[in-house]
Amino acid sequence: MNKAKIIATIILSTGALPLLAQATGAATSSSSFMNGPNIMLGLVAIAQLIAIVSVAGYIRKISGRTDQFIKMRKIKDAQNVKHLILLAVFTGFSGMAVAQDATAAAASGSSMDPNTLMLLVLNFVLLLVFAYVVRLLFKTVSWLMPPKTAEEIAVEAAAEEKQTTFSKVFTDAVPVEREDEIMLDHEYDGIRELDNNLPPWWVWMFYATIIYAFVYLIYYHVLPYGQSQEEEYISELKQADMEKEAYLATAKNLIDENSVVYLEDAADLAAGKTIYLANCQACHQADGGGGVGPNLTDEYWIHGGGMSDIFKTVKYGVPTKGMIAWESQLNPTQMAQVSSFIHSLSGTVPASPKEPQGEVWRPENSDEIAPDSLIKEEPITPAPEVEKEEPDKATAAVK
Amino acid sequence: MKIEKFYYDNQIVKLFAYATMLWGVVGMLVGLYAALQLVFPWLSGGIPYTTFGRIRPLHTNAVIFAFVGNGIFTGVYYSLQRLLKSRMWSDKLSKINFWGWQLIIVAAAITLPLGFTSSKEYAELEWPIDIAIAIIWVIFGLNMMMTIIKRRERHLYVAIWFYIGTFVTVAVLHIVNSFELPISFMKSYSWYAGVQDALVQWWYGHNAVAFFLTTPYLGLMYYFVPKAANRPVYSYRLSIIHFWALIFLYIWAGPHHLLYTSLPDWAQNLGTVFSIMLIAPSWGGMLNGLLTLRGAWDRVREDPVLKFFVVAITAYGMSTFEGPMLSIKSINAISHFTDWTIAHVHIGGLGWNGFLTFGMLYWLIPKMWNIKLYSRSLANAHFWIGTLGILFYALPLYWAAFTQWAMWQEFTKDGFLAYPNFLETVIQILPMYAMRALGGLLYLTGTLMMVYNLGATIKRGSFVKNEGAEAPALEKVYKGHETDHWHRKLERRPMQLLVASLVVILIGGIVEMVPTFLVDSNVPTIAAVKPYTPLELHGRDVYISEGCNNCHTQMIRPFRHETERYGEYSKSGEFVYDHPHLWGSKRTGPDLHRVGGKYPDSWHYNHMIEPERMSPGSIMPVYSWMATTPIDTSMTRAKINAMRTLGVPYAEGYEHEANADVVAQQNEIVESLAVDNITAEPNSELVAIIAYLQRLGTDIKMADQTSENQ
Repeated sequence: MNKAKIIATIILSTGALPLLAQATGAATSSSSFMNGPNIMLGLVAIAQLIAIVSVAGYIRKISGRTDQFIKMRKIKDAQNVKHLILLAVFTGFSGMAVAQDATAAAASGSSMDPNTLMLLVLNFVLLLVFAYVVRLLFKTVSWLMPPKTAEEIAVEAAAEEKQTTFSKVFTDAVPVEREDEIMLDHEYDGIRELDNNLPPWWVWMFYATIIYAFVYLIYYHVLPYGQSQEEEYISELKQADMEKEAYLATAKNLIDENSVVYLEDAADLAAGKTIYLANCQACHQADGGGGVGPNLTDEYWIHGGGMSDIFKTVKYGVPTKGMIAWESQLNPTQMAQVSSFIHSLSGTVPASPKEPQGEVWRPENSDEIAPDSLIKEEPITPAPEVEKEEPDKATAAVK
Repeated sequence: MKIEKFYYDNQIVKLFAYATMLWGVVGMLVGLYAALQLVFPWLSGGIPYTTFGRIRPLHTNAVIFAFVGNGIFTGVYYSLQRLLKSRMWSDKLSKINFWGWQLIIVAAAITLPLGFTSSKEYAELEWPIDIAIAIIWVIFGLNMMMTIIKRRERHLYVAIWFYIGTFVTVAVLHIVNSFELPISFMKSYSWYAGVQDALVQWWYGHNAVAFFLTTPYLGLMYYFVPKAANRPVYSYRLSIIHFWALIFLYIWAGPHHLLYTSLPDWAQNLGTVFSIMLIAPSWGGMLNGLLTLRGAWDRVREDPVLKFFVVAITAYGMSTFEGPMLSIKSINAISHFTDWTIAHVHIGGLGWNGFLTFGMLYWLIPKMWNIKLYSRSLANAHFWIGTLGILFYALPLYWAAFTQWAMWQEFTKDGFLAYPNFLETVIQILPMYAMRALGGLLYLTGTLMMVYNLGATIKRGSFVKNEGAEAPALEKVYKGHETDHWHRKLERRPMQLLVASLVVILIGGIVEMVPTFLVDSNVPTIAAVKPYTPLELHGRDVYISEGCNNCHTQMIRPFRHETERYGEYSKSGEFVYDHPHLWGSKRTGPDLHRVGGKYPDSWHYNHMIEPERMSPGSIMPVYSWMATTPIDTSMTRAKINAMRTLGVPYAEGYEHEANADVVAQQNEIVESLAVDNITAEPNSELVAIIAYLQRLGTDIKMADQTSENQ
């Protein structure tokens, strides 16, 4: 059995894992996949993959031949298998991680295109695999080389010597060969101690951290620049407010309780229903029958049943009764959509309606004026046929 | 000079080694169980004793005090005798130390699942067990110090400095942090309140890591690494400077667990800078360990013992670099309350403590049983599967932490939280939790392989209870050499060394704690904050008993995304009646500091009976038994009295009327539940905890409302 062959094959297949992950990621958010940087990164990835395949193929080819290789292989096999397992684990790992991140990022709609990020990670992983395969190639080739000449050995020894000089500057240590010079005269249960100098880089790091500590404390507690955490918080809020205002100036997301109207559009009502099911059904039931919260289908309302009333209740909540203020979680359009959906539930028949709470609400005896008067008839005969089906569907779902 | 013949006590080492293996397996098994519960919440089985909130402290206590604790004793009892050329001073005390410690562990294993807890992390055990720990620890210290005094070796080796430092510091930490006022056999209240309690707790918590998981293990490293590698220690001078610097600086770093909380800024900043300054002293230990292996690297490739040591020391270096980085406020903003901290401590726990223990046992047991290790390849396999286990444990949690933090703090352009529902951010990382459990399983598998391997070794070997040795007694008079390093003087004066380390470790704690306790401006009072009602106090005790603080914080940091999600950030003055504080350290569920009034009573009722009913996909265990478990109102009086003793301003004589208020508030809640068609048992834990939850954070909310109305 040729293990090098297997190694090469497995590397190929694990390398493909992230690619698969990417494919699934792309499927879930395909809209923006094909853009300039992504195509570039994709091409680089393909190029890397080709390079890996060719190098791996080459290894397979030469490793099948020589006796020399077979002899060497026996020694190195154990080591290679270990490397291989680790490598496979890491590649598989990053594949999964990439998929994970892709979904997260895709869901968030964050500024960084998830596909780009994924491709970046993919390229990085491929680069690692490529580096490994190249190393494997060099190793394989070196096993096929004739034994070293005396000259070569001398050159290598010189290089090693040079390295020792470097480590001397780095650690300021007395070499192992001369350690008797700094061996202290005591021993404890056979343990002896050397008296090596402190590694210079370590000493300097220690000094640096001490200086850092002083500078840090002076910056925050003596000089006027450092912000306390309250000050930091206030400037964070200011910054966010500015950004939000700048955005809202260009957006038309400005519905409030004075301007809200019933949205009859089926798409709005469907969106409202989705929001309702995600946030409201725990307390009000899927069909609006009520549970922890009041029944939303009858004509009794605690805080008023007009569009503006409902919108207000949704927006500001009723903290004393446990109704959450949703204005921090839903934007105005969403609140208008869910309020419209709730409005549309009026008059439907839920599976297990809660007893009435509050008072009978009639648009005509409401204090409300202008905007609601536009839709006065609506609550009693709610709009399209969709609504009629809702309760049944929801009840079926509950059952 | 007369040569004396004496015997090392191997029996005690053997007992501790067995205990280490046993509790190691148990502790890891409980950890795996807890990890799996996060993915499969139904594994708690719907009973109180196995819920995550009770199991997680069991896991941390088991691995820290049972596994690592017995590991410390194993190594200390073996190395101390040999480094001093003396048998332990008293076999009886050694035995008391062993059996006492095991009894404490068993007591912990029984009381924690039963819900007896002080809620303070890594110090959850209630007051009778706290006292037992103090006694046994002092017995251990006494036995050690007397052995040192009766020694046959003039100078104390660096390992022993670490043992002495460990002994005094752990004693101080444990006693100061455990100041509590008992109100019954298994219930007490922390002496400290709110911010002060948090400061003391994390001074303790951080230094439990420093002086229970780090310094004694550095001592073990200084003995077992040079022994196993048969190489001299790299640098004596490095030992000196890193020992003193480490114990002096470590004690200051506790407040880095409280960055961006209500702790005063100056204390937080001290925590940050002292953590940064800790990098070099910590790495001094790593360097001295790794560089001791110079000239032995060829053997590292083959000898499993050395392999374990190398990974252990490397893990130590990594986590002592990561720790200071996590103490930088901007990084801490990410890591605090997420799984990053969990990953970080497991690099230390699984890597440093676990692997060093494994290496030590693989070296020690063949030695004591006079035989070769049963299977070297099995030990090598353990090494690989253990290493993989660490990677599989830590990497997914790093990923989970980043993902969740990124989701927490993301805003949409129009200024809304992108993920307003906390649960969404939990469900997102469940696959990572599953991978983490797999990592734990791998690690546990390795440990079981070791137990088998060592068991087989023991079976084939022949154990010598009392190992003979010879050495001359110390002469009465000793004159040092002129050329000696100045530190040598201290090394032959154990009591001075003990006192010196005590002084060094007291400085940091005193400088941080005394002003926080005495200077009023550190905790500005808020007039609107009032003591808890007696029913809320009962509810708070249910919260503590269930270990809710293991998953829910009560500390809203001053970040826009936190105040947007939870409400106004937490103020130090809000916690003045909190004995103990319940700030928590990890958000597996959302913060609860301002949950009061957020949902109706019936929401909480349904949520406790079956969390998924109100939050589909929730991984919180069910707490349905709370609906029928009564609260003990006969304790109300003791509770009010204890709180008054601790400084909570209940009126004189209120303890006699308190139960009337309990009934009144219970009825109020029962009525509000009745409106939503829920029939609740008034005198139940569930009603009490609803009272507490509805109170949380509302003192300030009301203040806000009044100011708005004006």
